[in-house]
Amino acid sequence: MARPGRPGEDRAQDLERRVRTVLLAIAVLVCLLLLGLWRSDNPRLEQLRMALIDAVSPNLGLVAGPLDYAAGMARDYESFIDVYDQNRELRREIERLQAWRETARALEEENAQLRALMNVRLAPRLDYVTGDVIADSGGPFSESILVNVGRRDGVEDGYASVDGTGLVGRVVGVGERAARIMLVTDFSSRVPVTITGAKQQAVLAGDATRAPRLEFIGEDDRVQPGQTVVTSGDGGVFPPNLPVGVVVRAGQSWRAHLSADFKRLEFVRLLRYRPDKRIDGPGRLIAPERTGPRLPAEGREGEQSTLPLADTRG
Amino acid sequence: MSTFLDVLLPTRGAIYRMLLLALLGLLAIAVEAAPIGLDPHALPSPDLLALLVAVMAVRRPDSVAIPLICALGIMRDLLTDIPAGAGALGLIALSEALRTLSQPLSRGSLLREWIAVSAILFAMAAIQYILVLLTFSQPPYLLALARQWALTAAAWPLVFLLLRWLIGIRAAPTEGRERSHAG
Repeated sequence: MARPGRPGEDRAQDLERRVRTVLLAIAVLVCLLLLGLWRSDNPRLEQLRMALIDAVSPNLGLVAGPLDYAAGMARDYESFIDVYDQNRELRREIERLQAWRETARALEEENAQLRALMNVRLAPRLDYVTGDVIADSGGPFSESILVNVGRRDGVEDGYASVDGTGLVGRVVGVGERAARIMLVTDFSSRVPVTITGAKQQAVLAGDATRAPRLEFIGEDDRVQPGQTVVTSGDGGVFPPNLPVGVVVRAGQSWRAHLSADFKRLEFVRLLRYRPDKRIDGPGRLIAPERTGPRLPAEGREGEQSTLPLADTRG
Repeated sequence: MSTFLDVLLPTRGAIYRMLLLALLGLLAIAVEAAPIGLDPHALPSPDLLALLVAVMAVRRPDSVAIPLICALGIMRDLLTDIPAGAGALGLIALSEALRTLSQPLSRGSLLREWIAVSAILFAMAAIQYILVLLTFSQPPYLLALARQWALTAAAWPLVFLLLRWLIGIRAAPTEGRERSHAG
């Protein structure tokens, strides 16, 4: 039962209620404003996010370290249980790979000879920086990770990230000491890919599953399960020919089972890649195609920046 | 004037509890953000920050200052890539709802408190989902959201026991004994 309060107490409670209401209204407004900024992809919000991440990333590592160690122990224990089977499987795998190694060497040699004959210009070797995964989104709203390399290590927005086996995602935010990577499994992720066996272009659309959808396939009757999916390089964000996964059938649609091992993702490589943006001609949309002799290109940074696939794919 | 200041300024005990909530909140965010289970099918991390706020809002309502909850929520949103503002708004709604119910809940049974917290956590998840829908963004799968809610609700007794052991929380004080201050 409510106790009748003194007039002074009632006034204080009333004042407290009002102050709290005002604070609540301000907090709600701030949150709605942030939501608006987030929805409109405002760069200031990303700057704020990366400044915050820069400030807390060393401490995040301190907390994540022991937890990661504990999780690693649990994983190792699981592995220990079936170590005998794993050992046998690995021996079989080594035998298979040794045969493949010889084949690959022969093919590499032949490839080099053919390239020399055709005067193919090779792309420069991709430079990369490796980062430690220090945080992840951990919730159902997004699929992203934070790595402990940033602007000071030469990382820039848009860099592709891979693990030892395949494409992981791309950099969507860079701080001084950390970078945020949107995984290919995120709802917002769209990656132009090539299905190599079928010679078909497609778009890999993330949907928070291990096998994202393959959309906009040109002729999907040529696609078969087990065909390899690699990045196409279209759009100039991802380098071409990065392994992505293999095609799997899911009902009436096609998906790509990812090569990257997200279960054991501890380190990722961020590939420093700049697509060739030289303009060799005026473009057919704004001027008729030039019929005269081509002028030598000026101000080129060097032949090495030319991508091989631009020349070889036709 | 003195009444006004009394209302605005929290007591020393409340300030200590706010500091403790801030520290534990930062730790909860760091644990949530730890890179365990990056696989899309891995179990999501329970919402530890929401659980912390839920326990404190029921048992120590004077410590859940709106600016503090808002700041922690925004920080978590930015660090763990939740739609910025949506998570914070849900957290504020959770803390305000439980703060209002703190007297009856803290004097009832633990089971009752657990059920009430779970129900309000469900409402909080629904608020976040609706906010994302209203912005015409791709919302998460309902199943994924439900899994996180179930894990969070299941983790409440653990967080409650941990806080009881850590700071000896008990039933919420009556209004006459220890007034909860705004802000």
